[in-house]
Amino acid sequence: MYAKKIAEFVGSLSYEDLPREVIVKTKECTRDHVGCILGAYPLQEAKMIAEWARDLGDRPESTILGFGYKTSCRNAALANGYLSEVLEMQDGLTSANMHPASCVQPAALALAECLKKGPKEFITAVVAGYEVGNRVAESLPAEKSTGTMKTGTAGTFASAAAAGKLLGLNVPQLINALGIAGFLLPLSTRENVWGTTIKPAHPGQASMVGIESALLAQKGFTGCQEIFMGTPPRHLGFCNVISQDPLYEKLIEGLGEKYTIMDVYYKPYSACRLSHSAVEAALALVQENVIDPAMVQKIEVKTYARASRELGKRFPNPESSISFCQFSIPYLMASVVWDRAISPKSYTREKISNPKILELAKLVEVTADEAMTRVYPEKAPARVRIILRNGTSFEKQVDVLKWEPSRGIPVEEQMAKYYSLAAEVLSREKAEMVAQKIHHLERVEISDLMKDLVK
Amino acid sequence: MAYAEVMADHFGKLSYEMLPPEVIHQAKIVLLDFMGICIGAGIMPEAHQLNNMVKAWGDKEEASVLGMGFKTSVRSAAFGNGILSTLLELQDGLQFRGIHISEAVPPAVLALGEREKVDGKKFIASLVTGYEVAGRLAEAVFPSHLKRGYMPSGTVGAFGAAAGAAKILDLGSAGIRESMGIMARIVPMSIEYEDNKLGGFTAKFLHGPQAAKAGVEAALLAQAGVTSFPEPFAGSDRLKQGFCYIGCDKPNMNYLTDGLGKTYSMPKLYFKPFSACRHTHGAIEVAIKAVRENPVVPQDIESMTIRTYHMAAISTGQNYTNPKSTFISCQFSIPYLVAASIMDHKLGLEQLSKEKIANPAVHELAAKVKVVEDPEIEKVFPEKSPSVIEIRTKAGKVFTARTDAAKGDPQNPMSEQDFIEKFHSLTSQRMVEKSRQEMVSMVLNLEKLDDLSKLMKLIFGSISIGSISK
Repeated sequence: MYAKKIAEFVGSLSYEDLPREVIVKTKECTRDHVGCILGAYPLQEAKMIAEWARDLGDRPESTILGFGYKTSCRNAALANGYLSEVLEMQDGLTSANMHPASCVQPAALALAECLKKGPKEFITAVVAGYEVGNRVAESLPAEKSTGTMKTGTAGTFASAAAAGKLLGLNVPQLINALGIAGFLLPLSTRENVWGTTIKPAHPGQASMVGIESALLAQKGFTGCQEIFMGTPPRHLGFCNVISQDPLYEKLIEGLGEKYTIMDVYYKPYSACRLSHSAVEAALALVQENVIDPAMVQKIEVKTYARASRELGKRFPNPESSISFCQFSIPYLMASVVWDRAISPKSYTREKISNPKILELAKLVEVTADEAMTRVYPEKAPARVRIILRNGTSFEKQVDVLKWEPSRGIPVEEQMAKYYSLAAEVLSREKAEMVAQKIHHLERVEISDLMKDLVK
Repeated sequence: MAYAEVMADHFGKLSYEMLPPEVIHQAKIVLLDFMGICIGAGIMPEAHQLNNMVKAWGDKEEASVLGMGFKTSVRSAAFGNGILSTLLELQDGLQFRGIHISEAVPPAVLALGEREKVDGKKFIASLVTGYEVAGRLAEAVFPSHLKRGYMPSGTVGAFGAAAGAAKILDLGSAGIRESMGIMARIVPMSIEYEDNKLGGFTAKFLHGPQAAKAGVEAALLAQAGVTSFPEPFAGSDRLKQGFCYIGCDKPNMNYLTDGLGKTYSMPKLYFKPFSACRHTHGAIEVAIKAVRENPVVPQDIESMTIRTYHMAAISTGQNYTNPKSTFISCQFSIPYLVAASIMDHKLGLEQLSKEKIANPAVHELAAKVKVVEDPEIEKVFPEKSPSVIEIRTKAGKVFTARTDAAKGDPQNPMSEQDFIEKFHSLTSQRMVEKSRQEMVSMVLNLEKLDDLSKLMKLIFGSISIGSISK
């Protein structure tokens, strides 16, 4: 009974039992998440969703970060989940193809704020949410899953677990919350990823539906008791409906001993994670060498099959959306060569419609490399070769993704990311104060912290 | 092929004046049936669980939860009314497609229609839009979608709710397409329905309502300018990962667009005279017929056999109950329902009451019911969906009864008078007769209503709240 074991884990998890490094990591994840939302503040898409949620006009009990609008905790979770993926800088777990922050943190922040839950309860709920979401996502092998996205699907179990923990649900209620979440979770079709503004909606929906599932379970609604595997004779649970050969053991293997949040990466670049090795290699080339964009004849990128297949042939045009460009290796290579940097500012309308950048993008050729494909996801290699008209060429390979825990995540670089994003909303002084508060989160009321996270 | 675009183009332009009279009439019947069921559901404990929870959310008061005496946001009202519509298992359905469109589409369209104070004609055109999108999509993904474990009332229903909601918000063809595209991202997955249903779990009530709520959200997001992938049903040429291809093996994509404006899904709906799964209705009907026409008493019965079509026999024929069984389990059990019908000569809500279920005698009689799939019947299915009962007494006598299509099927339709009676029987404990009659007349003359909120106000003002306070 996987659902029961997971519910028992969530129900019995206590702050006192959490290893110190897990608590430290959880605070880091919260800080990173907050930065991702604040950094999105200037974008039109962000404004659109924040105002949409505000105009729903529901009871003001939780905060939409950055904007400071207050709305119902369900709406705040919906909006913050959406906002957290606009910049495409959210944290993630490579082996699970999952972005846990986007579905767990908004639900936990919104609910903790309106219920006035203490910081230790918040941290414990976030750990529970990450653990459940990561494990459910890991049980679905990427290649054998249908065209859905795990942050929306597995993410709803994650937010239901976090919300259920904050609501103090007992084990039978948690089993019901998971069962209900499996019934109501958003299908999160992948086709919608590229070039639309609904793209970031699935984690928002996951955050909200997770809260609703927990509230329904609290009210006495009951759901299927084994949502992951289903029950005999049909065995049509979530995992086998969404994936051909689910790895059920991933759901519970070492549960309570090993914390998957320790394997979570942060994103150094505002772009799809699959592109990060190529972006890092290209950045190194333009920073270490003198490369005149006008002299570039060709940019060759060799990488693993998945990155090549999903991001390799996407050529931007002046009308392309932000998310299209965030998921386009040609645009990213061109932007790096043109600007010698990649940041949220790489996606302004001026940049996307700049003919020089679009011309450069046409010179990018992405191919899949068999050897590189074999080592994925342990490694996610990319080799970039920039060839100039005069025949000279520069070449660089990156094997392990930057800011993957296995490669190390330098604290000063993380902080630099946070400060540059927070600067869109907060003064440096205030941003430093918020960083300090999150660093000592166990002593801070969540509802106080939320007050500091607005313009 | 741009299916979504063709559909959106058609429904964006659709007006009341373009609809055939029988579709307009059916739309009114759908609304009357829906409202009676929702108001009647106020007697259920789950209605109170819901009432308390949705009320506690404290959303902006803009649309009514039917018969519950409070208003909430359009999204929460859609959710709340969706739940009320499914509690009694009396909702309409698209014949043999496993979908109850009424759990998703009317709640979404009604909540927005109330807030926007639309007239009756616009409401009818929006309701038809929602039913048509859901009906066509249900045909396209049948039967593989169900076999894969999805419940179309939640998935397919959500697309219908989105289209109907966009229509009533006047978002035009572009807005309808955008809303359907957004829905592909947020559509509730609605799996594990069978386990929820057979296990008697109350999550069973939630997928249609969630679809209604998501439908409202999708339309509101489209209205705010959120954009989506233009072909949510087929997906892109490269990936082919649209909703239909994710959710089923070989979708019949042409069903989405063939005959748009010429053929309609609404006339293919069945309606339920009994508060039970549709697949049990033939068996209930023949059981009642047999005991009313013959001198049979339960004590004399040796055994009973129900012969019926495959789907009914496998999905509801083998579920045996006991005094601890839930309301839901009994609603999905031919043996229980036949036994209760034999004992009481009818099947209403009292035959599914706690007291009745707690009575061991009904389960003992149910244990004598054997449900078998009849090859002769299967041959004529689905043109006909016969059920036959054979009651064998201890003295060796055999009584039989047969129906070729359960009452409420398009092949054996309920009359307008039947619907009016169903409405009154469901609402009589909650509303005085004068209000009930006024409501029936308002709904049956819906095209003359200038403001839908007047209908909602009528219900709001006339429900006796005292009877539901617990």
